[in-house]
Amino acid sequence: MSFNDDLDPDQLVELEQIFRAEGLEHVKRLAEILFEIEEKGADEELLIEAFRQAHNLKGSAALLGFERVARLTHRIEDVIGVIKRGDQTLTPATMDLLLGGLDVIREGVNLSKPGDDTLTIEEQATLTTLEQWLAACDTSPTPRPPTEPRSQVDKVVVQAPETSPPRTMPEPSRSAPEGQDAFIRVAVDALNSLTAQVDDLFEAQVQAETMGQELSRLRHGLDQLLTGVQTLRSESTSSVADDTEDLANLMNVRLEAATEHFHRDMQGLSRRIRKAQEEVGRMGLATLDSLHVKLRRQVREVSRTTNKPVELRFQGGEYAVDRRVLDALTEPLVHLIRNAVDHGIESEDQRQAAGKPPTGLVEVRARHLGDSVELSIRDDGRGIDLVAVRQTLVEAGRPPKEVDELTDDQLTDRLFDSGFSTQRQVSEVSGRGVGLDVVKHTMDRVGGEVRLETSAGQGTTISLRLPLSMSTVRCLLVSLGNRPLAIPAANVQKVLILQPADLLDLGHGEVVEFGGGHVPVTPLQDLIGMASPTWAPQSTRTAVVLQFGDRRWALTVDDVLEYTQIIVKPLGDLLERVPAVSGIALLGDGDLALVLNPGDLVRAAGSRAQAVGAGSTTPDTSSGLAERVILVVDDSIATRSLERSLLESAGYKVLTATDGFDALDVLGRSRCDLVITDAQMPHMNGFELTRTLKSHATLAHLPVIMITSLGSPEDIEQGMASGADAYVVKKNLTQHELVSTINQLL
Amino acid sequence: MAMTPSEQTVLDRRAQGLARPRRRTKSRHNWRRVLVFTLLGKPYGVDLDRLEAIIRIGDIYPVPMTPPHLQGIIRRQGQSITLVSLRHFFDRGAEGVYDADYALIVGAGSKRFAIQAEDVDGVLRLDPEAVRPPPDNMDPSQRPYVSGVTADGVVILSMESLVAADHFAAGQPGRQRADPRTQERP
Repeated sequence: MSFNDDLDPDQLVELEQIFRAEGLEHVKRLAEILFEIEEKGADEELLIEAFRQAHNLKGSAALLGFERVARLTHRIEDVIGVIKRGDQTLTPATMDLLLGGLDVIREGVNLSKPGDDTLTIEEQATLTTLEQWLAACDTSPTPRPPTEPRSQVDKVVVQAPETSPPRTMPEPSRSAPEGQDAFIRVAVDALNSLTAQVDDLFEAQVQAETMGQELSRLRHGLDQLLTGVQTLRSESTSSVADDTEDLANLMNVRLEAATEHFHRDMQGLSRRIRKAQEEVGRMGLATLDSLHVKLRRQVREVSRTTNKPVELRFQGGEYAVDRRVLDALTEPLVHLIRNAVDHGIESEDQRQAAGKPPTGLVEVRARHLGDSVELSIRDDGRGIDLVAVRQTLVEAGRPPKEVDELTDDQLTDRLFDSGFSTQRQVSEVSGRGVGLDVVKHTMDRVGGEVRLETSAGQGTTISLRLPLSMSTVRCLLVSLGNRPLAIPAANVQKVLILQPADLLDLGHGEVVEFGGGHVPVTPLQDLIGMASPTWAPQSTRTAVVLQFGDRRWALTVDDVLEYTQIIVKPLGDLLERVPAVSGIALLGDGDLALVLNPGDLVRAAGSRAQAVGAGSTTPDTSSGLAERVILVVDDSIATRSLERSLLESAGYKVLTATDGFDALDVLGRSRCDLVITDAQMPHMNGFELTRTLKSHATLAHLPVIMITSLGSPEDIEQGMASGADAYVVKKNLTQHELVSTINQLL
Repeated sequence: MAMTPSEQTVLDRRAQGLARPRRRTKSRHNWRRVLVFTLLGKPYGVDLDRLEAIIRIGDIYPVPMTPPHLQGIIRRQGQSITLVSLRHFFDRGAEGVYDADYALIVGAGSKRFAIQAEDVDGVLRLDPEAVRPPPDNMDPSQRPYVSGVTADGVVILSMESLVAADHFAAGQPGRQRADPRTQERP
């Protein structure tokens, strides 16, 4: 009988969750100890601890009815017991057996249910192998201990973790009362939810700050009103001015008090939110040490599969990064390690012939770099054969001349392309060309960077720059095509105002002299396909100098707005792999800004420059456009958004209105050069709006294009009769046609 | 007062004469519920268990370097959701503008996105036996994504088939995507 029968369902669920979390820790710790034993030899203390870990796991599993886990762990415990007694040694084969058993137990901890005692095929096979090992030792299994007494349950709930806390976690400000633990376990889901809520608070704070600025503007407006009233009063004897001034004064005083109060509250709120973010952020950190066991296992497996002796050195495990970054990093690191051993490290004979030590070296090292951590994976192998890379590109269809002209940096960039592999055979280990692409995609997703350096005969180093936090990032906001874009500030070296005389053409595009060298210049719009007004050759341009690794590139934009802290969120499903865009951020005014990927931009700029030099693309030399403002009037939100996108991407500034009355209101406040209106709208339709405009003293000159789904000859006639200068049926509308019609009218 | 045997006999005979066989009604327990929406003026359907919400579209934030059927991002409850134009997915060269102000937020496996719709027409309860496979002469660009067609001509779409399509998501390995390195200026 299981004690579970006496618990209510909620308690049971909670205990199961705790068991699963604890169980995984036991499995992880047990694997670490086994690796230590394999490396250092059979140390009595380590063996005792390994036995204890297995024993605890077995006990917890049995207590809560996780029968499958309990049975397998019991046999693992028996095997360790045999080694602890000195009856057997931990041979590589035995190590394989135990590690394989721990893998199966880990699955069981995650997936099995209390009360389920039917072993899976894999579990049965593992159990059989363990029992055969024990039988071969001629050792009887230890009798199964009785079920843990019920009073042990509370200890399962509050047991302190085995590992020491990450270095970056703050010490508790007050020591815990005697008898209580200083740490508790928190489910990852709960932590992620808390982090998301704090992030939302931050966004709300940014929006509230914008409201505060609006309040200040209102006060300023009221001041101006007051000045006007005072002037009026001095010129008139009417008491109306006195009354108005009194009222305005009263409003001003109250608004001033409210604004001050608001700003004070906002400062306090900002401080509290920032503190909450920092504390939640620290809770969400995990040390790089947790990767050590997994990577060690990979090196061990690949080394044996490829028959190459390889040593793994791991330094800087005490550095901590956002847990989400670490979780995302695990798979790419596994790929990199496998690649390093399979492709990088030579065989023993080859190494000896090259005068290298027979054992290959893979070094994983972490170090702090400002607000990020750099993790480098270095091997002392053969390096990457760049000749083979060129050959592969040619075989894939790239023009040979273009490939010949690629620099080494540009060649190594190609290694991150999906499916790229110089390996003729897909080995059991690697060669499918998916490793580096996965690495790049993951680094893009977490807001990090990846660089590769290689030296023939010396080895390869892949450096991953990881943000400490996936939450707030400091960015430079720029505008392009009337849309805000965010560039991580860590990659912005400088903002330049370029005069035409500053630019030189060295054959592969324009460059500017900066920082002791020539930095290439490319319009940002050319890289990300967002059109914006182009400049006449004699115009001043604003450029952002990006730095990515040791590469620099100046990208011209419409305008530079400000530096700001943003929270980078993913774009959304189906948009996980958009070139040059790593996420999206909500700005204080409610607008969204795309967050650009500096690495992709620099790589794309380099490739484009290559193509320009080869003559396959033509730099734009069209003359500049003055800013034209177009008013789009339509009651359909989707149609307004679509037309706005079409027009903004063609370089126009766009205002919108929902019907004829709204359009007249907008025209009363803002300058417009042309009106595009739907025909059928509530309150005032397009025909009425057009007639009103054409009979208005100051608006009659405005060209009007009617875009409507009404396509009959009678509708067209009615549209033209109302005074519209052009009539376009919606279903036939294209950007080209719309822009062409606008150009004819303006 | 207890009945006499002859009275009981009369009642029994009367009851037998009035009795009718029990009408077996078909259980609707496994009937399919489908939300019907309008696209290009025609009725389409999506299984209700794939539907999360129906909203009116606010702002659409276009994302560059993405296929034309990925219209951009809409925001809901602080999250970004990709807006898909099936019109452009079925016909990559589709031109023109349609008033499609509704977004049907759907889920398929681990993916969540929104389908743009011109109108929402209601929920149909369908006998699974009444849903037919797509006819042979169906538009080949749509056929792979159709799970069935009703007698009234409602084309029921499979969200899973859409998500599994090679070119549905932006820039996945082996799938077509705009290459920024060779992008010509518009």
